[in-house]
Amino acid sequence: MFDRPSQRTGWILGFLLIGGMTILIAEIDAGISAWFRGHGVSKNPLEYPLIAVALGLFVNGALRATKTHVLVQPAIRTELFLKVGLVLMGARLNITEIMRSGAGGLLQAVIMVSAVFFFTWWVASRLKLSPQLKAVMACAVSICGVSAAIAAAGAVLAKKKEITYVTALVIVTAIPLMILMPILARLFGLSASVAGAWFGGNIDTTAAVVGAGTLHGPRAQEVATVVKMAQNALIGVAAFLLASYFVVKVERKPDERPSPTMIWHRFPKFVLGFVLVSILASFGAFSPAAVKTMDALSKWAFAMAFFSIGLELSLQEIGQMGWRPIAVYLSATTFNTVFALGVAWAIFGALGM
Amino acid sequence: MQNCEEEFVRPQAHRTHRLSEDWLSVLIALVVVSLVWIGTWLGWSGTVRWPLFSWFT
Repeated sequence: MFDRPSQRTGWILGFLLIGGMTILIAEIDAGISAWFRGHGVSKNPLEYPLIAVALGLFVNGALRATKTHVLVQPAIRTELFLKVGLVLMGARLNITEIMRSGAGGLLQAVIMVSAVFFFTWWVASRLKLSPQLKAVMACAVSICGVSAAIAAAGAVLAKKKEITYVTALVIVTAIPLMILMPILARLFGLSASVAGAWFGGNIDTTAAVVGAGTLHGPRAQEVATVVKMAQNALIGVAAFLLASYFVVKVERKPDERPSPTMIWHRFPKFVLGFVLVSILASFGAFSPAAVKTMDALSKWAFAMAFFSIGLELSLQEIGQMGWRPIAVYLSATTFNTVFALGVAWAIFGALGM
Repeated sequence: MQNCEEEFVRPQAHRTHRLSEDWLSVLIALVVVSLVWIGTWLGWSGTVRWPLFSWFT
């Protein structure tokens, strides 16, 4: 595993640093959550990946200033942390959740995810974003923000700067929507069910969906959470389809035929682990306590991954990505907001599902 | 991983003597899943929490 003794020392020191900082990230996240709870918002919309990247960037600067960055380099295994976290995340993506959400939730999830995914993909193609960034962004806007962005990034092997950029956009956009949408729902005179379905179908992060529901009322919160959960359950399906599409279409060389062997060798195997754990969870193989533990462990792994991203990130690289990803994201979010209102009104209002 | 530009490298169609990071992640995760499953069965649930200490709450 290690070529030189100094690499082993670096790995141990780096791992202690990443582990220690991840403990701090969890504590800060819990502190911010407590602050939001104190102000009537039951979940923290300022999710931990942002804290992890910011702390990583800070430590990155300190390590480079003291010329010790190279020492901890062997422990910066972002890809490994991310993939372990994704396989564990499969435990909370219970596919039967969609069935439990009822016909209305299922119908809304499928319509919203498909329409918003292809709209985002189309706008991103017009503005010439890379295929990887297109996939990460389309999943983040259409499914459920940060978790979907991470799953898509792993499936299409996106660059770290692309995951960070999309994650930051998701979190920054979700907070104003969380505050504005309950106000607009009251202005439009929407029923609690339609308002909840609108929040769940539009706002990207689960925490902000719950937050918007809380600001509106208990019924809206219930419907918003159910609709969001139904969309979340589609992450596994999306990751599998995206990984297959990238192997067969996007990364195929012009003279290459997609043989089963080529597909097998290039297919990201962690997606299979992710789907396997999700299927086991859907068939009730894990108790609620086990799912809760695996969810916490996946959060630890993601926090380590995002801290590691910060350790290697250059703000200059992010700046070089320019305005086009922001334009795509804002167009997709606007489309999502208007379309989700129409779909929520049709399904939960007119059809009364 | 040493090169910061292209971090996520898709496994190529050739074999190496090392376990790829892709398989390693699946292996680690499945070991963790099994340990959690056994731990819960033995009644050790609640040992892993987010956060660990609740310093700021």
